[in-house]
Amino acid sequence: MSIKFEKVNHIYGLNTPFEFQALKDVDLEIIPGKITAIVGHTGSGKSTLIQHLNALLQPHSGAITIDEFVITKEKPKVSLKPLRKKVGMVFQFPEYQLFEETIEKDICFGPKNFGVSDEDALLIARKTIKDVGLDESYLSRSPFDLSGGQKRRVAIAGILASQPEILVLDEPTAGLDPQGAIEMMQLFARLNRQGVTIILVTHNMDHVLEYCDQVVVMNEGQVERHCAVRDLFNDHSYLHTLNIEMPIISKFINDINNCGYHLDGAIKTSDELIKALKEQLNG
Amino acid sequence: MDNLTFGRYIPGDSLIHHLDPRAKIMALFILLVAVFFDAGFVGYGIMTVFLIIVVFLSKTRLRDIFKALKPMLVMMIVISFFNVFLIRTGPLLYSYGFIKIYQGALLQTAYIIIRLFLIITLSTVLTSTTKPLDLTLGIEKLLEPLNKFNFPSHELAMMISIALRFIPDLIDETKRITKAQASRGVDFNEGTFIKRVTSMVSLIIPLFISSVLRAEDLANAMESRNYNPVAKRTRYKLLQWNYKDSISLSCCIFILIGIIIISVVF
Repeated sequence: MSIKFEKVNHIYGLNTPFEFQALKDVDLEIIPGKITAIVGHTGSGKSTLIQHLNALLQPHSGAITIDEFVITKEKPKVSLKPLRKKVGMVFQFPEYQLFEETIEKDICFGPKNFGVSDEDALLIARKTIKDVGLDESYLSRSPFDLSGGQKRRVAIAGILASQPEILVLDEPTAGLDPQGAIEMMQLFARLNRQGVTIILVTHNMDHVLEYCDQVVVMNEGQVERHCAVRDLFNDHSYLHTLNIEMPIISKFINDINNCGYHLDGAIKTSDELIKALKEQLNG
Repeated sequence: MDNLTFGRYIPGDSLIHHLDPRAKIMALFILLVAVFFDAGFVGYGIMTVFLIIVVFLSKTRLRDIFKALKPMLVMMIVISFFNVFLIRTGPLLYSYGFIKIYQGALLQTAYIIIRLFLIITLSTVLTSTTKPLDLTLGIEKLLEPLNKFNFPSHELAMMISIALRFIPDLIDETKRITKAQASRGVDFNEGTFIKRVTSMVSLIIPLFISSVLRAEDLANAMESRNYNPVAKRTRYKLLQWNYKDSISLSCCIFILIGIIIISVVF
């Protein structure tokens, strides 16, 4: 599988007084099978970038290659449905896309559009509702009776039901309570272990550290850096220029190492941190 | 979806941009009255020439006018179709079986098309050269004399400005939901009639829900700041009427008088 951007430019409102270049010569190759975080300030082009992945936006020059699909500025000659099935897209606040009378119907909506039979769609609905941490009794309820967090889960189930190979998420944990956010991230990590490539836009550096493999830093429409997560968080001066806050764990490790300890910069979770601290203190 | 930008303010620096919104609103009203007088092709000729001058002065790009006209095209075609076949006045020009076309029908149809064209272009010039907030301020000021008769001019202006204020938001929301549903395999342009109806439902319901929620939020936000429509308030922006406004308005009145004379004499 390949996910590749080559010299991609995207301009909003071309030839109008509102013209704005959102992407400038973006070259990017996303590693399949990993979790890639896209970080950067508001307006840095993150959302524009990801919308090219399933051809919701087309570049004004350059090309995006997703396996056999090549997205350029030309009008696509083939149907986009197979591409949109392959690349699942979860927008920010996806709960606003719910519209059916029951949760079951809403989850089945995607698969049915992609040509899955009614019976199979029902089976998928039963499976995916459990994947997102709700039980089957929810299926017959109205999506509008749920709490915000539950709606979000149902909406994400609606995307997962199409069984995408690449899952793209735009700030999936925004507005969730901390516990809900952790469960959500754990869900994505689990999907990733099942072989789904995950690309997610986030502002939460703690999540980037704990769950992501790769990180792409966007700044003013350009990819400034694409590296392993630990390389980014070990580069303190760069983080400082970007004005990105370090994850709590990285900051703690950094502070404690400044006091003469030698903790590994690759530590990602509090459990690992406690273990390493114990070793240092006992040793 | 980008067609929805019609009626949008386009920043610029032209004579028309700088006119007082009250002058522009009154001018539009006067010209609209003139459009509906039957002054024959001479009258419409005069109107069209005047319109071309206005468009030129306002530096409105023709593209924006075409954009505004495009959605009306279907309506124009439907109206012409029914008019041509159903109006039966004047001498018979053509007949084939039950189809009969009369001269009066052709004339009427031509009038309707020209009128629509003039109305849309005139309104486009107004909306593309006037900021929505100036426009509502102008409407409010023009309606103020009616306050004596308990007419809620401020409330009306506020409702208009809120409605205008949320149009771009609704467009964005529509785009967003369209994209979200397209990601779930909805094809808004293809498929059978039934399929398309379901596609629209998947767009309209979320849009409706979010609009209602938004309205509620806004009402709460206004009430929690103790908004009172009848309270006396000052304005950040004051409207200034100067000689250019008077001249422009006089031109429009002359046109109206001219059109009335032509329609009465001929």
